[in-house]
Amino acid sequence: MPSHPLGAEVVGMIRQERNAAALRDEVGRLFEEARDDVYRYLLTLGLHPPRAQEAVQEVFLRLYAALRKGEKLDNPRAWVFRVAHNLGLKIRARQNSEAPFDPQWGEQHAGPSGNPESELLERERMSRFHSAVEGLSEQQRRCLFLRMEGLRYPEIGSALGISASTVGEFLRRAMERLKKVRYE
Amino acid sequence: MRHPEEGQLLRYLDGELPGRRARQIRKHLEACWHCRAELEELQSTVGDCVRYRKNVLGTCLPPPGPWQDLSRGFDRIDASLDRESLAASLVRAIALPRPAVPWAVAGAIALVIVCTIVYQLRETPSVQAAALLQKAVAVADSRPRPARRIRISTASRQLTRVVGAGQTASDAPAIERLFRLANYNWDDPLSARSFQTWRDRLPVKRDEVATIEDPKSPDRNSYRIRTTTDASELVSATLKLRMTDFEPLEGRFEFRNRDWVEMTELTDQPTLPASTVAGATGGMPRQPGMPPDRVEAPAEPMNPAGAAEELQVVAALHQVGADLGDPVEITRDSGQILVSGTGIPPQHQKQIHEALDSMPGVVVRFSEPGGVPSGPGAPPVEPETPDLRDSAGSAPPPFQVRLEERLGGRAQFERFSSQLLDASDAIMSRAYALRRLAQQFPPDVERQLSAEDRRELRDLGREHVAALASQSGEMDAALSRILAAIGGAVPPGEVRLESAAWQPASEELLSAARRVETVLAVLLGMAPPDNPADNIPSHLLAALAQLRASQEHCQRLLSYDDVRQSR
Repeated sequence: MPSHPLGAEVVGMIRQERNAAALRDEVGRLFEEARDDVYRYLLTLGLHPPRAQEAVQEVFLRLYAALRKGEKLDNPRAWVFRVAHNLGLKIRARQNSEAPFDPQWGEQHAGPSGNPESELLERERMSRFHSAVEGLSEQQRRCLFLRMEGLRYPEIGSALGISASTVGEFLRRAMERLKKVRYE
Repeated sequence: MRHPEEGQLLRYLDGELPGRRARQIRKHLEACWHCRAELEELQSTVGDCVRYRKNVLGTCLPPPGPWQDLSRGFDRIDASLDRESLAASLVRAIALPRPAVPWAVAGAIALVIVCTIVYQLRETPSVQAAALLQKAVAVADSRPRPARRIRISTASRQLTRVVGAGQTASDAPAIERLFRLANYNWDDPLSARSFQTWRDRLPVKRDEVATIEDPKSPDRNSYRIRTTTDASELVSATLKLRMTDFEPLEGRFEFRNRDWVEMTELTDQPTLPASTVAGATGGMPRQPGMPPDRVEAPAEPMNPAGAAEELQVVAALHQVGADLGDPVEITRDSGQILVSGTGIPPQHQKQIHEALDSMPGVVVRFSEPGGVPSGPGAPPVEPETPDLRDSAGSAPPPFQVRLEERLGGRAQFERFSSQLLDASDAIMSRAYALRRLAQQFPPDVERQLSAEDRRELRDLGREHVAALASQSGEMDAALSRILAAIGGAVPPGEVRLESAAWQPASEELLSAARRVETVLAVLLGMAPPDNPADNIPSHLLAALAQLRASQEHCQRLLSYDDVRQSR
């Protein structure tokens, strides 16, 4: 509206305000939905828990900044994991020691059956499964964990800087090894 | 009937195949029981993954602290974006609609605006950091400073130190050296003034200031100042100041050689178990709102536990293998020897108790990782063994291809890798154990030991070196021929070893072992090379030669007791 530059400016500002509020809601919702998942992923990368928690918050703030700047994201969840992965590696490099992922065996480990015997079996199996996961290569594990979080192959590839077909290959190898746990 | 190729079924399940191929597979599956069974198996493994994610990975939830509200962060971002857009519209307003304003002037004004904003964005943390430190120093100067205790953690040890009691005893010479080299006041390292003095001297630095809020106890809210620089041996220092009274709570110091030191101020814990430990060994990190405790400088005990007693403890721990890898710390204070550790497996705890409980003046105390505050002051984490991983989608470097060919394939390569990694692990744990011994018994402490104790100490050291030598010998045997075959050659040149005592020599030995570990990881494709043009096989041969020379030098020094000779 070139004839009413001030009016256009005000309309623009109001629109921007509304836009910012909507983005806050959107990022806030995604944060509540996905923060635990991103946190868990960062722990598997080897971050110490407090650092991982800080990083999660940082990632969602970056998401907000990106959206505010007008970036169009097809899949914000995938974007979040990609940024978390890169930030996580940077933090891990700074922290001098890796925190090995250490599940709390014995907690929340109960199966759905309520039958102690089958629970014990399940626990043993999960413990073997965990060892098998630990035995995967770093890249296979990364692909697997990101796949568990619902990312598609091209999205995983973009997070890890590899091609989608390589992701498929890593996943195939990983599943091949994990399949064997059933027969151990 | 042609079955789908390997991997196609998983892609099919994951919906990652193009439509036509997916339809072909669907048809094939209708016809082929074999592939259908395979598919079901894959589905079950997917189910395992889902349960694993929930029941195993999920045990780490919830995170240690409550989730913060993001709205403050949003405000910050909005403010900075508004500043940017304000700058942009100012530039537009000046430059666009008024052709009367000469372009040069418009450009100059725009430049000034941009510079001001950039300057503000760049300088704000520095100004904030300087102002906060200034305030903290003023507050600290305005009140009396009783002696207080700080817990100091490094990658390999933990100790407690009393500062401000007028004592400047050299309780940790290696750490002290790091701080002195960096021109950082070691006599009172966890203080705003020391931080400020160090920071002010830096010609180039970068500051970050953050506020850390603890909704559970607002008294624990703090400012975190982090200064990084390339102009000092200390490349990064972080200080946490409590918001309410600018009291330094924690510090973290990272050095150019990648060593790090963390400090936490301690306060007496009134509910300690009925332990016999008195004085400066126990304690919890400072609680908010509590004034610094008046800790008297440790009085001279009647029968102080000395280096000789500590050596007995070390020897007893060695007997049960607790000096290799377990994060056990030994602190000597107020006539007692405290042996403590965090996250030690129960079986090892029991062995350590059995070995030490009968020794007078020795207190053993373990804690679980959950009970220890995280962040700075957390127990040192053992170096993790790198695991086997395949090349990250890109082509492996030529030496790796040749290595794999030489060994006869991927499977052999993986077996070979895992043997080498085991050996490297064993070497590292011995090198660490020896270095630790050297830190506990530096030359001046060793000289005060009796001849018999000295012999025992050196026997311990020699045992570590011998075990290291045997592992590195195996590694040599496994590697030297194959490295030569893939183009490795030991570069000519003498290996220089200058240490005159075994304690500094143990540092050299540790660096040599680290070097082998690093280059080995590159050779096996588990770490990227610093410089892709490097001849990794030659580098590894050189590193092995250095390790060999270091261990022989160390062994020689350990076998020659200069004190005994000079008496």
